[in-house]
Parts: sequence; structure tokens; C-alpha cells
Amino acid sequence: MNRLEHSDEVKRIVDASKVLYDKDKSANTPRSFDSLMKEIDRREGTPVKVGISPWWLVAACFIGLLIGWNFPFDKAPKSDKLAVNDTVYITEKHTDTIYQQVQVERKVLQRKEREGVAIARQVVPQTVTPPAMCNEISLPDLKSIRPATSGRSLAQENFPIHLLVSL
Amino acid sequence: MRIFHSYKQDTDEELMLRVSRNDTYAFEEIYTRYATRMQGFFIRMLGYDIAKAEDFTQELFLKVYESRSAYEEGRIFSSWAFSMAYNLCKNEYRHREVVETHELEQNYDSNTTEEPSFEKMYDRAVFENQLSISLNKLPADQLAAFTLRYNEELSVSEIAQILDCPEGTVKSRLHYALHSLSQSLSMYNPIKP
Repeated sequence: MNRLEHSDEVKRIVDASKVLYDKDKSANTPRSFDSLMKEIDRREGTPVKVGISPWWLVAACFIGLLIGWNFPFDKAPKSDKLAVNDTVYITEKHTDTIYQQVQVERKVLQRKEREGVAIARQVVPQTVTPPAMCNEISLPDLKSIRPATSGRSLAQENFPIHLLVSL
Repeated sequence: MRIFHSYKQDTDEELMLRVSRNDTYAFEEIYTRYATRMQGFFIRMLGYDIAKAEDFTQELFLKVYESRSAYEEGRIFSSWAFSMAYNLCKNEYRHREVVETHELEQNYDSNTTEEPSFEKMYDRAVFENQLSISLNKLPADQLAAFTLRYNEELSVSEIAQILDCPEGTVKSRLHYALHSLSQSLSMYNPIKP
């Protein structure tokens, strides 16, 4: 056995097999420990644990305590801070549109001017359009529609005169 | 508590005692130390079936965890784990024997061994390939003894514990394994670097 182990031929085989073995081990990493524990939990029927470390919970409680006890995180004087028992009134000022009062001079119409206005009201003829004419009047004259300098068509500008003429 | 105690310094046996007291972190340390070794052993023993080797590694550690209370104090953990691994392999061989005999009954002209060409004989890669083929052809007990002795570098007494046989039997298995390997690889002369 010893003679065989120390022969060159066997040494070469053993060395090569060791290289092969190490190569196989390094090339194929085993599954993660977490997957193994999941399988163990599944077989044992234990419920899945919540993935929060107890240390995180301790840290959260500590922060809660600091906040609850009003720990002085900044170095501002204590008089500037609000105590828990202080009452705070919040007033809200809202400004909307501001109106300015303006004095307007009223024109007092003369008696003659008043009469003139009354006469003018009486003179203006009342235009009554018969129902049969309504369609004709409301239809625009397509040939007369031409753009005017003011942007309005000539027919629109002349419409009241047009109406009077037809009557 | 893990924070106040590092498991890196502990021996395998100390860790296993902790595992028997349901210490999961100790089990994680055991897994970190042995998972790769065990997977390498399974790859060799199961004829380079990687997927099966991964499954067997997981199965082995499941068995280790399940039988943690049965672990005897003072027993070498590596021997205990390797013996469990070897038993898993033996079960697999029994299953394969049943399948192979069934296949042989249906297909009896599969004896086609090709002689490698002269140029290929001098190739180191071919030598390694032939070595793995020759290792696969070894009987399971000889292959286990060879792997544990020359790849895992365990002592003959440890191997005897793992394979559950006397030390003399281990030596004879090693002798037969080396003899058959040197015979099957005698025609290969790889170019040494």
C-alpha cells in the first residue's frame, strides 16, 4: 500500500484528482443558508418569521423615548421653545380685493335738454317685422359679405338701414 | 447571544452542541464551514450531477438539524456528517441499481468504449476527463475511501468510522482503488507544466 502510494504514477493521479475536486467545489457554490432554513421551517411547520431584527425595534423604542421626553436635539435656549402646556392661538389674516371710493361729479340736466331727450324718444320709429319676413331678414346676403376695414362685413354694418328700406 | 460571542473560534463539536440547544447561528456557522466540502463530496460520489449534489447537500443539512438532539458529545462532527452523507449516497446507488437493471433489460447493446486517438493521449484536459470517468467507474465504497483519503485528507481511522468498517478494509479498498486507477490511466502521459 505504501509503495503504491509513493509511486510516481499514483502521485500524479492523486494530485490530478485533488485539482479536479477543488475545481468542482469552487465552481459550484452551495445554496444559501436562508433557503435551507426556509426548508426546515416548511418541514417543521413553523410560521414564517417577520424579517425585523429585534435590534431595530430597540432602536425605534429609543428614538420614540427621546422624542417623547422632548430631548434637546439642538442647542437653542429653552425659553425659545414651546412647552407642552403652552396654549397657541393661531390668527389668520386674509386680504381680498381692495375697493377705493371715487368721487363722481353728477351732471344736472337742464330742463331744455330733458325735453329734447323726451322728444327724441318719441320720434324714434318702432320697427315691426312681419313674421313672413323674418326668414328673409335673418338670412345674410352672401354676395354682400365682404370684409370691411373695421373687420365687420358690410352687411352687418348696413343691417338696420337695410331693414328700414325693406319696410 | 451572537453579538457577544463569535463562533469563528469554536470547534465543530462545540458548535454542534450549541445546535443541539437550538442555536441557529451556530448551525449557520457549521453550514458555512461544511456546505462546500459536502457538495464537493456529493458531486464526486454522484457522478458529477450538480443539481442532485445541491439537493443532497440541502438534504444532508436538514438531516443534521433534525437529528441534532441525537448528536453524541465528543464525537467528531466531520466523521458524523460524512457518514450521513455516505449513507445518502448508498441509498441513491440502491435506487440507481434498480433503474439501471431495468434499463439494461430493455437495452443490451450499450457496450461501446472508444479508444482515444494518439494525439489526444498527450492532452492534459483529456487526462483529467479520463480520470473523472475512471473515478466514476470505481465501486462506491472504493470511490468514497479514495475521495475521503486523498481529497478530503481524512485519516484511515476516521474513514473507517464514516464507512462503518474496520481500518484494514479501508486500506484494502484504497489499494484496489489506486491499482485500478493506475491501470486505467497508464496509457495517458500528460504534459507536465
